[in-house]
Amino acid sequence: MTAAETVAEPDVDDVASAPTDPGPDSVARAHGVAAVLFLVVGVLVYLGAAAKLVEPDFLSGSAALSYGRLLPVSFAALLYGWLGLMAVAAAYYMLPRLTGSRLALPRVALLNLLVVAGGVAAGSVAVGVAGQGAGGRYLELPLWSDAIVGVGFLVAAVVATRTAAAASDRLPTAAWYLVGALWFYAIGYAIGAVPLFDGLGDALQGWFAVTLLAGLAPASAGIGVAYYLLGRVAGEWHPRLGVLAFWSLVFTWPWTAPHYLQYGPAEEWLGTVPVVFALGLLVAVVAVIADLAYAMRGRFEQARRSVPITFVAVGLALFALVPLVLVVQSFRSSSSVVHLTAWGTGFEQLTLLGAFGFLAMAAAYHVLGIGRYWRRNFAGVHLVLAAGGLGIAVLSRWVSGLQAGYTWVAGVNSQAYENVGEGFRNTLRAAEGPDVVNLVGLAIFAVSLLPFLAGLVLNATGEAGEVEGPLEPEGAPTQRLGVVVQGAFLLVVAAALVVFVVPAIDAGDEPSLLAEDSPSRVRTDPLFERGYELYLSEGCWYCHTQQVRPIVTDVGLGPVSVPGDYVDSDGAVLGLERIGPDLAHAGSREPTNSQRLMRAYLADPRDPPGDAVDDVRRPWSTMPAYGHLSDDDLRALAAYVTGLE
Amino acid sequence: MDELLQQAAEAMNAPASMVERSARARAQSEGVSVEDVLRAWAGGGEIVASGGGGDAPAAESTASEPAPEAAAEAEPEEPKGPEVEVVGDADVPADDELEAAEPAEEDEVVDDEELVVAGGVPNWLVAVFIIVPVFAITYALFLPNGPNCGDAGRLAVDPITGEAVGCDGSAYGEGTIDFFAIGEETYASCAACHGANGGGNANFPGFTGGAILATFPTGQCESHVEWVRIGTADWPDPTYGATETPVGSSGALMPGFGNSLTETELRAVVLYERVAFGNADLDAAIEDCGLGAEGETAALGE
Repeated sequence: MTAAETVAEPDVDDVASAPTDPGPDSVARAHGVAAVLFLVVGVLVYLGAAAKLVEPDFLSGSAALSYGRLLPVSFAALLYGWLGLMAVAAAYYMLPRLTGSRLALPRVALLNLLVVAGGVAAGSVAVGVAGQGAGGRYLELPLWSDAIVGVGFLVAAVVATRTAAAASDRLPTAAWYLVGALWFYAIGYAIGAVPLFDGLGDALQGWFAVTLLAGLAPASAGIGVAYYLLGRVAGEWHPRLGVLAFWSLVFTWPWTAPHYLQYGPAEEWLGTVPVVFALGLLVAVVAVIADLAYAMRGRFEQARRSVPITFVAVGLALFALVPLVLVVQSFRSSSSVVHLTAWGTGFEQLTLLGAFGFLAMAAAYHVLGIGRYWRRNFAGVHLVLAAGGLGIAVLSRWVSGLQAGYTWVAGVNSQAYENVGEGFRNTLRAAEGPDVVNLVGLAIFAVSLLPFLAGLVLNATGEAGEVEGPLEPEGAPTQRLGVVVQGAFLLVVAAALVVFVVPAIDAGDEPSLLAEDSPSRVRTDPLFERGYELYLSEGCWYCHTQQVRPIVTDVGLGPVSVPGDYVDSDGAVLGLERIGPDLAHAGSREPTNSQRLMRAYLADPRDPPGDAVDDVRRPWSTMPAYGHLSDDDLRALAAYVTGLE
Repeated sequence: MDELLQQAAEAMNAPASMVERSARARAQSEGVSVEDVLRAWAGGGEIVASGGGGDAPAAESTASEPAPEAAAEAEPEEPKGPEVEVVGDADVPADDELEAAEPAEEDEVVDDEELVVAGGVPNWLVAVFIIVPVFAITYALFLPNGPNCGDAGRLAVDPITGEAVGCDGSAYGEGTIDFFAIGEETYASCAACHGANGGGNANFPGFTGGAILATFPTGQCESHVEWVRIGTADWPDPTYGATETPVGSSGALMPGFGNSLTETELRAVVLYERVAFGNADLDAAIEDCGLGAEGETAALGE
């Protein structure tokens, strides 16, 4: 505590006048401001990527502005820059007030902001501009920047834990979630970055990390914010669900990870795990929301006046949908329709921009002190535009996903078309309208940030006290810090062992016959190796899967994938979404088995250069043109795709 | 007492109603008068902390501060540093204590008490916590969502080719193309002008009453397909069909669908019109429109 004691008293009258003073609140607010900047960058880049689905030639011709480079930059900014730093800001601001202590190690904490923000920014530049993207959705940052960001989250978790430990051994409800969230970020980031397995095991490991980083961690931070803000208004706590809610949430969420690979090449039992635990998560989320709702009974008038609490209410309403959507994505019957479609992007938007985003915005309003008055800071405009735009975007993704899923089944059942080549046009036709609607929704969401920023600039007075009431309601349960941290750690490790370590070991490293024959899977030739690197760094895997599932939807795509197909590949090649057709056996089909045609097609799918390439001209395709790649790179990428036999 | 309450509320920076409730609870638990508690909280004196009381720790810590600082428009939840006194065990007060603390001034609270069982968890939630996990395990293990062939779209895998096949090992859905159904679905884009039942509409010709087969008789399906493919604008001849109808004579334009429909859809929708509205024989029309065994390959191999 020596560092904390040397710090000057927090400037009560005018904190904003001394932003460089490492007083406890200025550390939290600096994190909050950085988080909001990342939000703006992330949303704009995400919007740009959505625009490319509607108009593939928009801003084309430059590698850094291609779809596969924009998407990872937006993920890094939104997931780690915005939600991650806002979680840290909320923890730094709220934990001292909850426990009656001071922020531990404030100078380290302030310096650490540079580490996390710098790591995310530098990693994004490396991925977006230099093309160093590593495979794995949400885990694209290269290993060196992973190390920086990972250490940053670890330091943040340690600072939060020391802050919580300084005053008392017993923590109130909000503090469990805030401390827990930072540990989930640290653990999830470590799991996501450390390369332990290849192929299927890598994919399972990546999805487990994502379940923490894009699920449990930001959710915990958001719930912590909700408990803090609502707890101040509630006055007293009625049902004692808090302990049950926290532990059931931590227990169930990590186990839902394998839903990302439902019907995939892993063992059959692994597909049953997310079915059970998505239903379990439903219980946890009901408990969280019931606990908060019961506490608020009869006090809605006070809550309505508060900007942050209104955002909390919208965030919790969206959060209530999360387990329901996870159930749809986990059950085999519904997964066989919606999995690998735009439906998954709807879940991404519902969680990252919606549920967690609104809870983080509530934290931003409170921590940055811009939520005092509805009228002065345009928060009402922000709320309406953000909620409306998000709703439009998410619904468009779900409609698009259902249409694509049923289109695939219809093609197989009628045998009228295959879901590759010309036949894939049916899928794109189904996506056309919803893609425009999605762009409109996201644009409205992006516009909603203007009143948010205006409020930030005009009203950053440092007066955060718009939520009246005591810091902790009567009757709220407490738990020991050690129990919370160690218990959460053990539960996550237990889940990790079952849902990715055991199946990864089980998958083994024995190549399948296919993996021994296919030049793109063996890659002894450097041409194929270069093509494989480009497949990962240019983000081909965002729109193309390489997994054939043993279900009706995938009939006609070739042999069903087995773990041995991936032994020499990154888990990312399995993919998550089919905006374009599956490529697992692209080299066994006409015309994608011709390197010459493939090279021309990659250069410009809508108008391939060269002679006699009319066979592959697809004016209706939404694939990006890769004409900006060098001839050697185009040749390598074409070799890789045609070598996927 | 109201004035005292206001002072205390101001000192604690908390709503008066909440301060009053807390004060009542404290008075009850310590056997002193409510006024005494409020006076102490308003800054007038020390209060004795009790281990298991029902007070919010924050309320207590704020109360031990001198009033003016907290009231001076400062951030009310500024951490109070080492002075803060955190109640060791802030467990939920027993139900009877809660009831005593709140003499039924809010109706909702009374309703709560009726809903809530011992332990503070409402009955319906207890039911949810039992039913959902039981359902989860039952569903996963027994209901038709399992990993067996035939469940939830699941197919078998041919051990030789590795392809997904039907549960009996035969190729999936062999020879079962329902062109009529494809055509019926595709016809949705024609129905706006020609009517859902093919009856026509204003200037747009109808297909019923023998009209369709009069224009494109049996054996001339190809000509029908070409008409739908090309439309009026680019039609090479002045007339179309066996009736030699002048192009554009109906007063309406027929768009060409060659770019928006696949070859299969084009032929299937023509098939649908001839069978559904012209009463043509389905099997004969399939051959006629190039969708039979040989023609099928041509249409699908586009």
